[in-house]
Amino acid sequence: MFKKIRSKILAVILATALIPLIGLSAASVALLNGMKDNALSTNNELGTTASNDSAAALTAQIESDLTARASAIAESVDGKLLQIENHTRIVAAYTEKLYANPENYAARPLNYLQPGEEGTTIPHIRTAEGVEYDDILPELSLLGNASDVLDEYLVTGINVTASYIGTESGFFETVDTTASVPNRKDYDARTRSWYIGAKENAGLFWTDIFADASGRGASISCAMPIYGPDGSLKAVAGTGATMEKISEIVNTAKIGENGYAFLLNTRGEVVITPKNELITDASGALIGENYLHNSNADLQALAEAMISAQSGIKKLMMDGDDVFIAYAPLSRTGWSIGVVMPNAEVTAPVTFMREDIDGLISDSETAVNSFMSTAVTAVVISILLVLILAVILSLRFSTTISKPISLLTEEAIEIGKGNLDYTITLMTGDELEELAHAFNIMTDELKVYIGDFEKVTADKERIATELNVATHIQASMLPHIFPPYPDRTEFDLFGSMEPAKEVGGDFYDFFLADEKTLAVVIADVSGKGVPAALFMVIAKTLLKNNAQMNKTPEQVFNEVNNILCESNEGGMFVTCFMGYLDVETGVFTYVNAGHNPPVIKRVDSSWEFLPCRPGFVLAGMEDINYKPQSITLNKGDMVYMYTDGVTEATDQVEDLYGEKRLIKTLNNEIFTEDINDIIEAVRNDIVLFANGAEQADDITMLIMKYND
Amino acid sequence: MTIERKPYDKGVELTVLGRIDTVTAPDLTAALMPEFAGDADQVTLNLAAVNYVSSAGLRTLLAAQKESKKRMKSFIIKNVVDEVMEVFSMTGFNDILTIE
Repeated sequence: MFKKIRSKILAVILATALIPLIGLSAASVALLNGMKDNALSTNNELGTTASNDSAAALTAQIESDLTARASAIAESVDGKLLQIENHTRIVAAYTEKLYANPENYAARPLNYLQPGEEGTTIPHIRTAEGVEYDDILPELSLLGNASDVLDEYLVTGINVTASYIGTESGFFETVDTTASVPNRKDYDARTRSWYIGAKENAGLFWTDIFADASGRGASISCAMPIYGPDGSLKAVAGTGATMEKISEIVNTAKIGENGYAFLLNTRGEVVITPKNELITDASGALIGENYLHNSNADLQALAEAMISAQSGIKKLMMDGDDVFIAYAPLSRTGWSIGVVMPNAEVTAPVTFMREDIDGLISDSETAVNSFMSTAVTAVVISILLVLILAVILSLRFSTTISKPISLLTEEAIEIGKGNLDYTITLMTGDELEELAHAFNIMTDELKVYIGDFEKVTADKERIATELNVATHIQASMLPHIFPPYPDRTEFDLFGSMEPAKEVGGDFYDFFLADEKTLAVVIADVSGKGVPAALFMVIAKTLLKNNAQMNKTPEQVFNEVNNILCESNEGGMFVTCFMGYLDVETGVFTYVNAGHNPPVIKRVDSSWEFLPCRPGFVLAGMEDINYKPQSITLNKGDMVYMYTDGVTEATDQVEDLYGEKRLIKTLNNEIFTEDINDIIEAVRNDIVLFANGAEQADDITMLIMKYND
Repeated sequence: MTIERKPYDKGVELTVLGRIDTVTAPDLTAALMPEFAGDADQVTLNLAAVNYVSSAGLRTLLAAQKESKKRMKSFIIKNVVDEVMEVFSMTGFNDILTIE
């Protein structure tokens, strides 16, 4: 019991404390989780959006920057070329003036080293084979005036290596930065590409890049035809320059970390690039990788756009790298500048930013997770605390509750053992104290009750014993020795009485009223128990006494009725049948006071009811005048008297035994000689009929036979 | 046994249902006797639903009859079934009771 109560209290306290706590905790954790997921996904989304937006913005920025760079480089290169071109134009224009008005200029003969002479002259003179100095002297003297103009290139600050004029007459006048260039007689300018180009072009002409004849690296020439007054070609002015300055512009252009610029010539060849060495072809021209004939279609398209003098930017794969290439044309030479930038570098800031954002997201996730685990730890600790608290509380509670209960249990066990003096005092101030109080009251009452009960039981036992004695006395008062008068052969008698439970009110009697008169009586006092038994004794005694005072049956009834009425405080009455048999004549005189009519068996017929005038019961009312009846019995006739215990015996469903069944049973015993058997037969049939039902009333029978 | 009480213009009628025997007779006595001490001039006992009256029942009826005479009231028994009438006849009660 103690443990059960403790467990129940523990369970209740735990449930009360823990269920809401756990519910709240679960809800909080779920909420936190939701918030965490939401925050993380929002962060992630923000990061991605920011990265994408940034990438787009950066890409747009880079594209515009790269395009601008390409244009700037192109302009810068163009500027250098423009200086070369301007110088060439000045030389050509001046020379054309010399040819137009030779008379205006004094002869300014140029030195020409004779074969075998050593040294250098400025300007130098070279002639084609077969051209004699004297033949060209006048023209040479005229063009000597152009020497100062040729020399002008020195102040331009560009990498011009030589400024020169080749004539149709076959000589070549040059001012060269290399002083050691000897005058030569084996140089025919008219066969050079710059000369042919300007002549054919009939205007300004740029050569391809070629390897400088004096070993000064990649070079380029700009040439301009000079016409005489008659419109015939007189000469071509040319300016040679190394690509050093231009290469420097292109090669040193800083394009991000790994980007670079390149120059594409009109054939789609990369002629200036920090990436690759150039090679010289058979004619001395420098050639580079040709994009126009590249297997990469994107590069082909790029080259086509570039040699078409377009500008723009393309994104393509080059040498396995994802790159942006911006391009812009030069306004002269037909070249184009390309600027290459790896995409990785363009988007690097975006990648860094993305990494930063991811780092931030990861940090915030770590922070949220750490917060969550702190929260969960707090919840677990709270639950544990509540658990411990609940256990302590429930132990305290259960002790305060169960200890009094244990005491009460002890008392109950003591009471159970019969120790009614055991009392208990509880000062808990609650229902248990009331219970203890009730226990004590119960103990006291039990004491009183058990005392009473013992007394009552003793009384009952005494009464039962006395009633048992009374029953025996009552039975012994009835004549019970058969045959009663062994010496009287005129009649046979047999009687029996079975009391129902205790002493009853039935009785039978027979006696000799006088020598020749046999009196038979059967009666039933209303009610049962001692009052009925006492009344029966009185009635029986009065009847017998009066009958033996020479009175007729009706006189006896009249007398006894009045006597009984006098002292009948209990309102009892008696049904009674009494008959006188004159043993000599067989005359049977009888009176009936409300009793069941007897049954008669004539020798020559079956059992039938004796005709009876129903008189009123004895002791019911005073001054009743009973009327006698009489018949004459023949030898062998029998009279069977009984009480209503016979006809009103009941079976299990309270059906009555009845008079018809009685007659039938009697008739079944017609041939018996022994009157005992007749009574035995009726009794057996009643038992059969009752079928186990309890006997409700006394069963009393008396049979008389008038003998031969 | 049950007893149903119903007043009428001259008095009160008690209708009994069941057996009147040793066990139930005291109940009938308790119900019947006070009626004679009351205002009713007539006490009617309806025995239509009674098929058995034991000697204890007869004693109750006798006591009621005596009480009615003492109090100058009328005690009427009605609707007596054959089985019960037989008992009344046998015991002579039909001579002293007012049976309708």
